[in-house]
Amino acid sequence: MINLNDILLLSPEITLIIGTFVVIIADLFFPKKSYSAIFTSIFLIISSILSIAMVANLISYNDSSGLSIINVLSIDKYSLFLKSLILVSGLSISVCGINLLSEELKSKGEFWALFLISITGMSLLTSVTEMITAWVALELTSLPVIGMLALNQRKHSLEVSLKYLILSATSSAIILMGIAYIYGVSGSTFFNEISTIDTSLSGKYLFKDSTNILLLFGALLLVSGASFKIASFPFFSWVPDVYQGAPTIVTIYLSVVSKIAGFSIIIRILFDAINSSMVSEWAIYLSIMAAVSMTFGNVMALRQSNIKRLFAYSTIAHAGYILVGLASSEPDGLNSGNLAGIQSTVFYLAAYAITNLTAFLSILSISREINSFEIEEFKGVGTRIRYQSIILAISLISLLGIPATIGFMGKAFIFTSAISNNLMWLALVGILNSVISAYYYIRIIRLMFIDSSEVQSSKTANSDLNTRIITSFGAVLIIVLGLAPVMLLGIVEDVVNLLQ
Amino acid sequence: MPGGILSFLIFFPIISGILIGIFSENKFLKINIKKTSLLITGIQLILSILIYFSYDKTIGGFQFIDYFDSWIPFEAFTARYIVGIDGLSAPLVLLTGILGFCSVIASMNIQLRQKEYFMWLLVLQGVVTGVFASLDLLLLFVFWEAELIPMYFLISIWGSGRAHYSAMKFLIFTLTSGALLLIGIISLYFSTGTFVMFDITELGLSGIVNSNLSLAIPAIFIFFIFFIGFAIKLPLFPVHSWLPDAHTDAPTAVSIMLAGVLLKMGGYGLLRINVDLFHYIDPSILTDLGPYFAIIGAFSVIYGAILTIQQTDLKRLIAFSSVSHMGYVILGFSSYSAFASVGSTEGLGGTALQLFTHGTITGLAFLLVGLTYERTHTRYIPHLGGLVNKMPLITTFFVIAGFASLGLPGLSGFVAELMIFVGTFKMGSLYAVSTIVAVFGVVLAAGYTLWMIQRAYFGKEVKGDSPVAKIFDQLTDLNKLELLSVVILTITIVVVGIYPSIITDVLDIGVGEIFTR
Repeated sequence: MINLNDILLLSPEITLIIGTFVVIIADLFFPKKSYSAIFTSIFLIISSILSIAMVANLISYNDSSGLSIINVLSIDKYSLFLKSLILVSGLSISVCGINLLSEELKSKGEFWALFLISITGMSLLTSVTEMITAWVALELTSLPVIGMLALNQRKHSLEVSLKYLILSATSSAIILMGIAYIYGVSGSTFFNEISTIDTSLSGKYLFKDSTNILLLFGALLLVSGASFKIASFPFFSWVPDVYQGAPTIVTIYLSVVSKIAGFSIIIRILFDAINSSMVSEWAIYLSIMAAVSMTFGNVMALRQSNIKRLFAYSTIAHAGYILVGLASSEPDGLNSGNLAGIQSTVFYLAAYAITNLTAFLSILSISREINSFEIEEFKGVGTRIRYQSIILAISLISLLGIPATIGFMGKAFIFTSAISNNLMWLALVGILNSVISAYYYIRIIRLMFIDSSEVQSSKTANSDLNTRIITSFGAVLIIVLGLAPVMLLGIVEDVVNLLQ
Repeated sequence: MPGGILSFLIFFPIISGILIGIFSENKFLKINIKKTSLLITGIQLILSILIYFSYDKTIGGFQFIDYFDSWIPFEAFTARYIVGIDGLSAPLVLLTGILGFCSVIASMNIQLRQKEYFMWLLVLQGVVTGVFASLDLLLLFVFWEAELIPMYFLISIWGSGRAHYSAMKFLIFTLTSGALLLIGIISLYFSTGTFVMFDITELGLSGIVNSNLSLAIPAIFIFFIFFIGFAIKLPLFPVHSWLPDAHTDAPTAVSIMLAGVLLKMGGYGLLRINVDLFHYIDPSILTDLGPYFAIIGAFSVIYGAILTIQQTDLKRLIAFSSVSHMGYVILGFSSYSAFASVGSTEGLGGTALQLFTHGTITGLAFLLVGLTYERTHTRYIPHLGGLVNKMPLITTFFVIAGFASLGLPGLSGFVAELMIFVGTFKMGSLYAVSTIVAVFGVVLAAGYTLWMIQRAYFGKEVKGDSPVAKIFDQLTDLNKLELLSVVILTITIVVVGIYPSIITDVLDIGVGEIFTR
């Protein structure tokens, strides 16, 4: 039964649910429309503080087991770390959204209520240890997004929303199929019970002799379904259209927060639920996912003219890089304590979240001033909106992976893990891909700064203050953690320790 | 010298450059950026000279070591911050100091976006010093890649002609070389278990501490990954095509740094990793394949020289001559042999000296071309002629640079090329044939250098529709500051030519230690 202690453990999510109601009710009583975003931010602050306090507590007590809530949710260092990352990213988005959300959406309080519900789902997703709960949490993250996409009530936003709905439903169906397979083989939906079934014996239920392969197949269906969340091969065709057509706040939310949540559940399933003797088999599948995502994303990004669409392809490529780290989680590493692959994955995930959030918020704030998302229109913003442009340039350099930024450290860790796990070909594909990506990232920087002399700079504009504060913080993190990655690395090492 | 001096040499220009970029022009503060930059690089110059001459030749080995453990303690690897110099890198650190100072002098006429320009120029100098001083391979890679950003901006904002195209080409080529380097460095780590160079040379093959031997990345694969990475930077045929474009479109100061220092990163990498480290990992690779590298080197010399003769743009001409001269580096590099025979040490010593001398000679040539271009506004050789009447000093120094470049005895180019030829010739038949072929490169060099000087600076005064003819009467010679930078480089060339021991004493220690460490 749930007791008081469990309620304390779930306090971040409970705060968010209370926040949802407050936002809906406040929308009725307060005519001033930016209140919804402010209330959202306040509840996200409380929730983030609770989550960070819990993870700090667990780290300082060196508690590696974590606490379980009726075997369905596990509140441990790993889940709390990613939860904090999700909540802080969500907080950054909502704080910037106070001023930067389009006027049309500002008048709709339910936008922020949906946002909070979706974040609640993602926050739960980091700690699930049971299949059905995982599916419910996944749906909880997706369904509100459909509403958020459609709220604009323009023709293309309905189209985008429908596209998202159909693909989301397809991926859910595939996930359910995967759950069914795993349940059929193991007779359980709990991760800990699935991982302890004896695969050497014949199947408990229907399929004798083929337990192993069916379990693996089920897991691969789950991972494929979750690839919808992380925007990687095979479910990435929705990404460019939805990213371009969605309100930018939602695009940022999908590209950063949704990706963290998707990876958190994939890592959980692969490490907690699936027997570790099967690692080498799913590693091949993940390598293929990684290679296709990286190559497709980077090659398609080369010729884009809309910056949101370009970033859509770029996030596909980055999902590929993260999958490289996951694919190179060492087969026997879980026993020998060599966790380089999973460490590099979580490190890169955090690095990606910081960098992409900084980049995207800067883009949002700049495009607010120039009223366009066309890359050509970014010509000369380096002189007009100088501060925000410098921050965007720093984050682009980090996405490209030039040293002295956190992006470089992430890539170095990922490719090192790949080479150390005999995945030299994958490391080569990844490194060549980052060379390709130089072209489109540097093109943006060039347009911003180098071509500025050719543009008659009209007036200098100041970007939104909230955005400036948050992105400055992001830029500082990019450089400081890029020079001394040990600060983040120490936490990551501690956090993934318990995934054995 | 006090501890931390090498770290100071690396980070002083980087930090002061960034401070200039941020604070030099605001409401409260107005700094003369040009004079400040001159002061900073002046300090760098004096410090690098001091460091070079206080390198203790009786002790040898790595000196001025700064050490900072646990820079990146990752599960799969540990990287440390270690800088220090030995006989191989000390002259290159000195070279960076000299050329950094000269490049700031060459930038005195920059008007466009001054503070950014000098910020990037100073950052570039610090980062390049970092490349030569790093003793940890990952640290070396960090500096290697960090050099890209300043170079990209310097070429594409302040460049001329197709600057964007050239800068992007430079960026893609260098990123590819960096990518190969990263793969090589990580592979090396998993065979040896360390990033620290002197650990690898101490442990060698016996130092394979990584129990995961199933990895089995063959040493020859790592060798070629490194070789191709450095060959792009050097540059060697057929991956040289970025160099003429980048040089031609870059501003003068950047050409000086590019030809004088950045190309040397490739040569230094070959000596440091493919020779020094691989002597302890698998010396048989280079010993066995030496003759083929000699052939590639000789081909590169002749091919570069033939391309050079056809050029009609002063800057492009000197850029292509760099391709030819870097062929000598490969030739000397090939003369390595696992058994430290006499030819081997001479050839490698010559290679290391060639890096230093080519840096000063080509630096001087680019500086003078830049100064000429500032006055004539064209580099197209048929539009020039008879400049000696208006620019006697520029012409005189250009003749010195040209003679040094074609290897006139008494100037520094001669010593280096002679050492390479002698060293490589001794190694055996295929080496000797390659050397004989490469010697003809000197003849071609005499041809293109003298012909170029004759057409552009001597010969008849230009008349008719040449744009120079209209402004010919207003042409001026060197001013005092420009004279200073030209004289510094000329003195280096002449002194090393007459008394080569001033550099070779230190280099010999470095080369000798490859075999005896």
